[in-house]
Amino acid sequence: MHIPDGFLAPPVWGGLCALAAPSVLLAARRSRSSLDESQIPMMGVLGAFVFAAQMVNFPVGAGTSGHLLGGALLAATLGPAPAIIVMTAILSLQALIFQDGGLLALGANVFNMAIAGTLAAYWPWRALAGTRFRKLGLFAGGFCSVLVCAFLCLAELTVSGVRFGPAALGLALGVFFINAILEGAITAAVAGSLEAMRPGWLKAPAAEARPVLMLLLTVSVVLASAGLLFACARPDGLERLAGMTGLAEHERALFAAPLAGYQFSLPGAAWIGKAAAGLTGLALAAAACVGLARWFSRRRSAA
Amino acid sequence: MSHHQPIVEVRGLSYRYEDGTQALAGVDFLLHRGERVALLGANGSGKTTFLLHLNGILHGEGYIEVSGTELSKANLKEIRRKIGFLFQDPEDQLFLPTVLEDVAFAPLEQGCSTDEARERAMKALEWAGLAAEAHRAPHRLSAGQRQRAALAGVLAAEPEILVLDEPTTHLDPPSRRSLLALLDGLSQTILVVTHDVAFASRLAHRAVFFERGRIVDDGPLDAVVRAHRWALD
Amino acid sequence: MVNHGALSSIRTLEDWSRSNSWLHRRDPRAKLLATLFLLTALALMPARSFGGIGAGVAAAVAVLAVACVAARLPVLSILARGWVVLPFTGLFALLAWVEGSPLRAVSLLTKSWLSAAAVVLLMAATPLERLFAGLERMGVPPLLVSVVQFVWRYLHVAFAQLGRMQIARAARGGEHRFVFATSTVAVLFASSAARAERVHWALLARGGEAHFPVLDALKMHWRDYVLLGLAVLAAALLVVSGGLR
Repeated sequence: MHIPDGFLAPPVWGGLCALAAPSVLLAARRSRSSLDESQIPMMGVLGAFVFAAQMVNFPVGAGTSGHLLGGALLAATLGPAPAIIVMTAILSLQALIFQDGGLLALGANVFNMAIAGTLAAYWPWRALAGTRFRKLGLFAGGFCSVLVCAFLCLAELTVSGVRFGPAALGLALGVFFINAILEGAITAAVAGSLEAMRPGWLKAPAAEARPVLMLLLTVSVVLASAGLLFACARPDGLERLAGMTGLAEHERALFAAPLAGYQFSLPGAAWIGKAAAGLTGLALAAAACVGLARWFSRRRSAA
Repeated sequence: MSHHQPIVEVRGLSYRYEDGTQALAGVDFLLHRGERVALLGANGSGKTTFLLHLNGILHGEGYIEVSGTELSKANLKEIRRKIGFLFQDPEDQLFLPTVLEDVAFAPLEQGCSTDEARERAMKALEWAGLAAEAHRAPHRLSAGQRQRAALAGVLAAEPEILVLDEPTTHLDPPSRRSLLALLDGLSQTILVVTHDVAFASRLAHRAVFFERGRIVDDGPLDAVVRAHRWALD
Repeated sequence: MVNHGALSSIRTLEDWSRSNSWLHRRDPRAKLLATLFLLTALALMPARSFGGIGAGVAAAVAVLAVACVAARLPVLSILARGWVVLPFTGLFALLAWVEGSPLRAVSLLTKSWLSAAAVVLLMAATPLERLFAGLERMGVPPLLVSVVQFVWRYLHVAFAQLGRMQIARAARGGEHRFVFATSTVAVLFASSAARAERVHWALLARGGEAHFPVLDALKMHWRDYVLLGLAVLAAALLVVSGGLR
């Protein structure tokens, strides 16, 4: 699910970078406030662990095997904000050292896997951690993280003009669904093994102070993702946005020019350029949300 | 070469793990400047736990005095400056991207300028025979080289006391020999936890024997080894 | 099994990054920005005709080749490493071809290949710790940079341990089963956590917090600005050539 460079349209990767950057900054700030000193080596070493664990084959019969993504495991052990940082670190290293995922597309990959994926993993776990259904919480966390991530990935590629025939789309969705189940199963299984070795390792996040920030971040991410879908569904997004912001005719053309090379057209409508600009607008709106969250948190901590 | 004032004084040190096991049960220990002492004992007898109390990484009950200063939360940094701790696995110790940077870490922490720190680091690396590896990443070194790099890093901080936790575990005989040669030339007071009796006998004259969280023997190394049948032959 | 091939190829990249050349000596921030300019240019290159794509590829290869010469690195090796993107890209290129846009298929292949090669060049001409120092100076949160450095440092340790565990299991005749994989990962986790504690102790013992002081401070020289200027020119060249018919 690491998207290389050359796939996403500029407004898409640009917009997602604009979303990912403040989110990561927010997560770093939040981590700093809730961390004690010893957490940094822990984050780094566990990050190395997840990186290595991603390479382990989990045979599931018929010659196929699944792999662990690790977002849910990290969220459950470190908390959401540190988990976001660790996943971002892993993705950055994968892009730089292994060229697994593009550098421009890093914003998109971070948004999908480190931010949206981690948040999607965190809330189910948080909801069920204190109950008898902890294992289910972990499973749901793993499941949701992969599903959300895959969904976003597909949406971004589609908006950028990658055409999926119905067969290919069905296959992709099927593969993602299976991977999601695997992630949930592996996360729950590994956590179970861990608990057997060292009971009390996975702390229920009941005592976590002020989930408000994470909630705000989640809301921003959901808004942005919804915007992505909106852009897919409503072809005239750009026209209306451009009209609203008063972009002149020739400026609009200039903006759309780089996308002209992406010769795509989903059945019936030449709307990608328009959708992309709509997305950018939404990205800015989401960035404003996150900015607001930061300002809010600063006020809170000053009080 | 001992003076009247001990460099380390421990009285009645006790420590209990989170799960309730008594790791140390009233340890008394005196160390004099310039001495070289080996800490022997079975695994789990409390040797490493004891060492971790000397620089305040673990906090038990009892009295600890290092170089005339009583150990307390306030002066931890100062005490840690005086004690150089070489951990068992150098992988845990070398965390910076290159050897030079890692060895320069302690001097920088102590407030040296980058030039001073670099100079001290290069000197320590030359002493350890690793000057050529200064810009290598730790994972590219052999186990013996990593051990010496970690030692250089510890000595670059210019400590008064050197504490080593099972330093020869991952070393082949040539590496053991070069480590021994390096340590032999040092003037610091040395405490070494080890199972390697041959190594200990060439380095230290005195040994203390740990058993179930207590020191049960303290005397010349050969006598202690014989009394507890700690050598293979 | 752990991908030992990947790790050993990293060794080559590391060795390359430690050599000396005009490009190696440049400030990492300039090199990173230059790479981003080139990547953006590649992304913006229109793909209106095969001729245009061909011209764009030729221009990009020329730019990368010149940069390799400036870095005293083997051009063909660097370009070849760009093909690591092939599996993912090939699939989508095939899809695009089948769906009737061959232009897009070729464009996908060439853009992702060249982008990856550009990143390889960046990493081959910049020691990692310099890059990290540059990132921190550019505003990346210090916490993130510290974690990245830690992850990188202990990546090899984790891989080595994983490799040993898998070999040991195979030696005991263990089949490759889901349960075994699970417990392997769980043990690796616990071991990593224990190691993290020891690393923290080692840091405490040396009187420091986990941060990464830089020995050679970064300073932009006029040569770094020259590099940036050249990068902008190269980027413009790419976009223009891609538009040729």
